[in-house]
Amino acid sequence: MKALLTSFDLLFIAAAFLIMALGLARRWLLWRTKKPTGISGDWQGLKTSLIAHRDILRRPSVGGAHLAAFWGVVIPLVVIILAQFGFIIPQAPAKLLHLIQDLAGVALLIGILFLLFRRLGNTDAEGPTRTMVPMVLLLVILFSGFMAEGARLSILRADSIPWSSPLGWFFSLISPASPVFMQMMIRLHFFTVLGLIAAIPFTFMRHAAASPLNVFYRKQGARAALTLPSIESGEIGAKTVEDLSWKQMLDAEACVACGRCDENCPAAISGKPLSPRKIIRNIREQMETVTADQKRLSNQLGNAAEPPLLEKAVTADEMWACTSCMACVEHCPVFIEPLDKIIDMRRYQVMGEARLPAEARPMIRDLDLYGDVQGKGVAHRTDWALNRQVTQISQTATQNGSDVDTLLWVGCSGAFHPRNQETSRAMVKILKAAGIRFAILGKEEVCCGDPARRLGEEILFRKLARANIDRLNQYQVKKIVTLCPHCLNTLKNDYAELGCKLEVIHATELVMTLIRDKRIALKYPVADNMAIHDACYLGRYNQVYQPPRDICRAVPGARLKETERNRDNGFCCGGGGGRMWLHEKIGRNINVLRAEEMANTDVDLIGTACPYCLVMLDDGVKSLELEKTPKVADIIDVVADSLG
Amino acid sequence: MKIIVCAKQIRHTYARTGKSPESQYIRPEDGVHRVNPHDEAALELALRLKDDYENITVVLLTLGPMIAEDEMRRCMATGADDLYQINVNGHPPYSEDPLDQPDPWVKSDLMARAVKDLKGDLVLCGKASLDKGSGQVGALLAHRLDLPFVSAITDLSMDKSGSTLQVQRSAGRGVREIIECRLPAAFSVDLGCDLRLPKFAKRQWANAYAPRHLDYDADVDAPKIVCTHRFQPRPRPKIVPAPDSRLQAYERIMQLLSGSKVEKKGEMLTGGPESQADGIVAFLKANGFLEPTSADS
Repeated sequence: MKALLTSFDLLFIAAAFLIMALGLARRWLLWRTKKPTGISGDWQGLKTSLIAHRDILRRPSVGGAHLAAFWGVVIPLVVIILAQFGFIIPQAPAKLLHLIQDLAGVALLIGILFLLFRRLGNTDAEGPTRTMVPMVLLLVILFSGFMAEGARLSILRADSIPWSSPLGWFFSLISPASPVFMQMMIRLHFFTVLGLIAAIPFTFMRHAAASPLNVFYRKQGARAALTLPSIESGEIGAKTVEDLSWKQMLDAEACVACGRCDENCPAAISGKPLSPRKIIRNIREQMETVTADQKRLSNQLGNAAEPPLLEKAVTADEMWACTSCMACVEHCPVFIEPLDKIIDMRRYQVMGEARLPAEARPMIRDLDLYGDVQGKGVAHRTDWALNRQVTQISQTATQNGSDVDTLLWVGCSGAFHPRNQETSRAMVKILKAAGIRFAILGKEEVCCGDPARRLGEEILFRKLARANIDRLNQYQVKKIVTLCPHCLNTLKNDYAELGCKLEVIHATELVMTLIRDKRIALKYPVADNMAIHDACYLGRYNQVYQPPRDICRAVPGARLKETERNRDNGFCCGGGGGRMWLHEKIGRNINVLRAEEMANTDVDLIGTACPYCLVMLDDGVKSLELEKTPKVADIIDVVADSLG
Repeated sequence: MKIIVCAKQIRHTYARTGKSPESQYIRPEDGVHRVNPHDEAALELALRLKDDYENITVVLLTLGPMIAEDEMRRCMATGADDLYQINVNGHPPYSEDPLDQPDPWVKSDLMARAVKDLKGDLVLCGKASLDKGSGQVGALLAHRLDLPFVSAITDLSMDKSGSTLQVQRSAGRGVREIIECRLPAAFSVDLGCDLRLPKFAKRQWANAYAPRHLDYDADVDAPKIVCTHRFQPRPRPKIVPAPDSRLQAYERIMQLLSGSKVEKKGEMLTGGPESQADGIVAFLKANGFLEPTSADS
């Protein structure tokens, strides 16, 4: 299209962009009131996620179609805009450009047809809405563009297939060699493009503006970190959408309802009413209602009406079904996080309305009074270590931790649950075999606060965190090794936000380095076939996937089998996010689902790295009543057994 | 209508991890300060009544120093309207040691005065406390105020006229009784109902709340009973897996039992048989098990 633009055309272009800008501005009003919360732009993320489509391509077929459609729009758009400036280019590169243009059109055609048929064959009621208009517009654009090209070729009467426009040549077979027809097609092409641009804010194509913005402003720092409300100034979670930050609102805006979160959500898979996609949609709908209300009322000179409560849209069953496994966050191609919104809603329910599920209340009360989830009290915190000569940091010679390399953080499970006490003892055995100078906080340790935080009891979490941070500062602890991934995540990421930055590693990471440095040697075989269950808080949250697998490979005679869902696809055991203490009344039990999958892998031993996973999977495997029940053991236990 | 809930602040000793018999095997970290759970249940029943009817005020009444102030404020945050604290003057300083507490007769005297001054219509208290566990104060309080008394209730409701109460009482072995009773009345409450959590707004109010004080110095009754000794049980044996299975059986058994190993009173006698026998006789005489014989004098 070499025709230069008339001033009329410029008017049309301006009008299209004006409509788009106004539409986007109206969307922007939805979340304009919120102040930014220390989030900086991320060019790198834009490069990998937008240019290379890394995250969208995790589903190869539909991701590939989107990649083709994306570049099929972007390349011709850029080329045509540049063409308006009338650069003089030599023949060969111009033809090459033409070829690229043509191929981009082919890519867009294939991509859009794939997506169209996929959408037509889809019966998902929660799926994307208003997708047909942009798709049809894109097809019209493609058709008119190629017809114009074909007409041009017909006029030129090219005999052989010109290598610079192969598809255009096919269209030249059916298009008349009439300049008027070519002009008509060019006009049609031009106005449809303008129509599509103007339609961006009002259709599905809104994601072309909001999603890259969301990728650009993606959350930095710890993965899936929760918001840090300032309790003192009365921030107690999300009562209405007004309590969400602008980033959280942008999240809701950027969602195209592709459903990858639902497909990976253990609650949704096991038949619970929770759907992360629906939560995001509910939030967006409420944002729209609030803005509409404000607009109406500002016309009427009245006071703003109370915005609708979030709990009107999101029921308690949905909110409390979340295991905070982060699968939804991990699989969202544009980094939307339903998780922090669910926790914000829980916070308001618990702190603002005192509506914690009844079965979790005794645990929260025990945490408050006794500092552990079992209510046994700090006095019993070192019972597991009786007879084991485990140094408490207060009993070291200098009493300030300088003669200790590593602090072993035992955690509530490791200190009190009989099954996990074994793991604690195994860890002590390994540390002693490797000759590491370590100590425990002993009776001065209280729960890290993870169960309270994920259940929304932020006040209690702060209280526990403050007690622990004071203690860690008092002993000038530098390095911590934890047995529980939940403690790991809390100490490493959550405490860092509260101003306690420490080197925190998980036991499997430490043991792996010990094996690699040959400070411990695994001598005895433990099991023939082993599978690893990836703990959410170790894997997805802290990206520790390899150490447990390396440890398994180091065990003599052990073969490592991967389950169907592993690593970042790993399936939750059902015990995270405080679900350990809640009843599972709806749908199937998540731990049984996971245990079934692991048992089907035909293994003798299921290795876990998390006390919750251990308990949940052990229950699950036993409830299957198989002929040959695989053993469930912590990897630390396996290493200790193999030491002899 | 005014409901008075008597709440006792206690040091709840849940463990005995100490080694020495002098401290009754108790270490400072073996206990927590809290409000007696039975009293919390009493407060919950009062608050449920307050939810259902208008014009009900719930007043917390506590005796002695605020040793569990945070927990007391938490109770306030769950919905109570006022907190009165009775200072115990003219008595041995009220400490957290149950031995130093006034006897139930004295306690009930102080509390009966407070209930009269506050003009309470219904008095609820816990069935017993976790630290002392006499279970008398509620009954004595009802006696002094000449009120009908039902012990160990688990549920409470009021008819529409607001004059008759219906209580459910656990009579033990799973037997339940429904009892009707006219106001004013006094009940003691057993555990059983699910407790509520404080809401944030009320929590802030409770943290800023200044408790009111009551002083009853004059003519406090003399104690009728005196507790002279209080014995803690020895720590229960803990089974500790032996760390080293290659040891002799005797060693392993000693290790298995080491979790409960505590120092015992007394001393080991040394020397020959004669001197040991002398030592035993001297010990028995010194402790009054043997009368000093005339031969000795």
